[in-house]
Amino acid sequence: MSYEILLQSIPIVYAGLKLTLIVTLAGFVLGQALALPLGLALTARSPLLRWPVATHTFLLRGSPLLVQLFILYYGLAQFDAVRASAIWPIIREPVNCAIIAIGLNSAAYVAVIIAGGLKRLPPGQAEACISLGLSRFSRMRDVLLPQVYRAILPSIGNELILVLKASSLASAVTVMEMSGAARAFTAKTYAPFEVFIVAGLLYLAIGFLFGIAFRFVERRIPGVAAIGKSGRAAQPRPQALGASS
Amino acid sequence: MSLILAYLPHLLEGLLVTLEVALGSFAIGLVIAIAAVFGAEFGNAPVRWCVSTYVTIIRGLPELLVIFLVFYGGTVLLSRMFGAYVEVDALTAGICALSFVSGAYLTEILRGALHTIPPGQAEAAKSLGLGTGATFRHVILPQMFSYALPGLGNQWLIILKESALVSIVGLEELMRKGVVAAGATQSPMTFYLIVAGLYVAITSVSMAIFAYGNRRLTFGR
Amino acid sequence: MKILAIASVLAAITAGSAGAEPLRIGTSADFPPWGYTDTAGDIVGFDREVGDEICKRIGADCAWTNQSFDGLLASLQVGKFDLVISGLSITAERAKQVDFSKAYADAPYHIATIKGGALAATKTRAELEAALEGKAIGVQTGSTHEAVANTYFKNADVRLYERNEQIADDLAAGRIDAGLLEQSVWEELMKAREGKLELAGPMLTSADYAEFGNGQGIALKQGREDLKARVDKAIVDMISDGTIGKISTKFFGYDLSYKG
Repeated sequence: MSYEILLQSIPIVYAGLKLTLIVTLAGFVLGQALALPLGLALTARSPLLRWPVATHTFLLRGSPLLVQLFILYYGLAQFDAVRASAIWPIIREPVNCAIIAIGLNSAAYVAVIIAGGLKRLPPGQAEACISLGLSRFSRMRDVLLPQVYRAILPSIGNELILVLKASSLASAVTVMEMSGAARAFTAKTYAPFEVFIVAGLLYLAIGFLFGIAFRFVERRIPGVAAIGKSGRAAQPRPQALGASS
Repeated sequence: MSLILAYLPHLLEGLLVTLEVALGSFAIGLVIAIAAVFGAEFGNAPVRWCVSTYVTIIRGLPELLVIFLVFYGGTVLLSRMFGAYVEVDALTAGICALSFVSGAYLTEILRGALHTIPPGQAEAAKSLGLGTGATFRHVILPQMFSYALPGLGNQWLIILKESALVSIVGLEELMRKGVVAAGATQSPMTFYLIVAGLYVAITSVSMAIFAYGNRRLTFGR
Repeated sequence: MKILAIASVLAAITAGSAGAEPLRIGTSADFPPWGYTDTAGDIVGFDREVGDEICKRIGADCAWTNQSFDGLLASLQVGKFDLVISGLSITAERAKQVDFSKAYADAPYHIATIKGGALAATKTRAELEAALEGKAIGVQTGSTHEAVANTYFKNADVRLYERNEQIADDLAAGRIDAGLLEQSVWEELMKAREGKLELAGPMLTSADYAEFGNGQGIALKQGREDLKARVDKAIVDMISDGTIGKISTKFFGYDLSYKG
């Protein structure tokens, strides 16, 4: 364990921090934005809406994120039609591909969690809205969804940590975030421990800060139950179709 | 088309390696988890602290980073410990890395299941005269696994997909075979779609098996 | 009597092969035509044939393993391999950590770009360096190309890839503006990509950028003097009797054996 290499590792890993945060936060926001319409579609009455979305979430949750990332990055670039289209300037950039792949993947998992949350609401809530004459939009926005989000808030906080960990995959498509920067440094110095330990500590620190931020948000929102000790570190997401948090 | 067919056997070989890695990691991870749960429940303070630290750290780190650490660092550590190179092939190293990661999650799953067992069970066993070891083996463990089954099934699916990460350090499993084939034929879309399809297939089969097992093996719920 | 004869013949055969020293060779077969895998999954190429010939000449029984390029030297140091033969350039930086045999090849390098791209018109090194400012260059993680790019094309956006085919694919797609590799590898990668790529700027050698190193050699763990001496002798013999030249022509179309 060379302290010289340890000290050299710090600026190297720190240089990747900015990209890690960009990919994490942008991917998380994209995932949350997409998860809501997908979650609503999963609980829709019309099978025309339910089936395609259910298939989509099934495929995204049934295959590794790495394959999905490669399909987006290398697979699409293969076609001249794609390279001539309007989306090329976007997916041409490796960072965008990482954000989109991680966002889509996260959205699939959170959509299932939202759908599960909606299904678990007491049916009396929806019935009361109908009897009060609320429009479907108002029913969703003012009554049902706030309750669902309050109930699944811990899962969403968990999702942020999972997206942070997923951001390390961006290094597979040339994005020099922390894990990629660490690996490149190892190839030069043949000293794996020092730099990966520095990177690991930084990931733990960021995860810890995200956890504190989320606990702060939870406390500010009325009606969110107190979270026990085991809820802090990242939980794995439910993978099987039909299983929700 | 003929080129794609030429690489298909390679992909299937890779699929076999993926299953080997996943099964090996799940099995060893389970062993680590059982030991960790035992330590967390019956061990003294330092042991409990070790287990808790292990679980917290692993769950906070990207799996890819842990794989890098075990891969690039593990062989260095082993060689320094034993003085000479210890032959660790890619498969073994991959299994070590993944079982190290999954062990932490499996520990939490088993611990959660353990705490779901009504305390009356252990008390009844003690009143019947069973010692701690016998109680654990014949009364607690079977019930723990029964409650843990959904979580275990979930973790198996996660391990299956995580095995793709080991391709980044060169293990010749399904993902890696796909990358090589895609590079040699310049048809990345085709091969990555096939690879994704194969993963979806094995996760679907796994889910079906677990659903069946869940129905047959769980009781009292 | 017959059984005794057969048994002694068998003993002689096995004793003969038991005398062959087992050697483990590490390579990264993503570097055509130096090293690549055919459809049967076997490692083939220039390095494979040179390596097998050397093994024959020193009386060793060699086993080849394919793995990621950037982990090869680390694996060598830890004892996973006895030799690394992978188009590896001999550089002062690497020589601090591992021993190198005598150079067996001397490959020139080249920047490649998309056909008709702005870079293709550059003629001199100065023009090339100027044209590369602010552009994206793809190189392989852990290679001398990465070191050269980081040192001399400092204002360019250097992207690190795990495999060289990925560099060629991204280049053809227009994601990156340039790639830096051995000229021989470009020729092979470009052939498979039917005219989408072309070479840009002048041919580059270690005379231009010292970080390229001084020829390609075989890496050994430090302290294995006996093995190194035997490998060196085999290489020197193979260069002088033209074996390397012949293998080189077979894969590159020209002789790039080391003549320094």
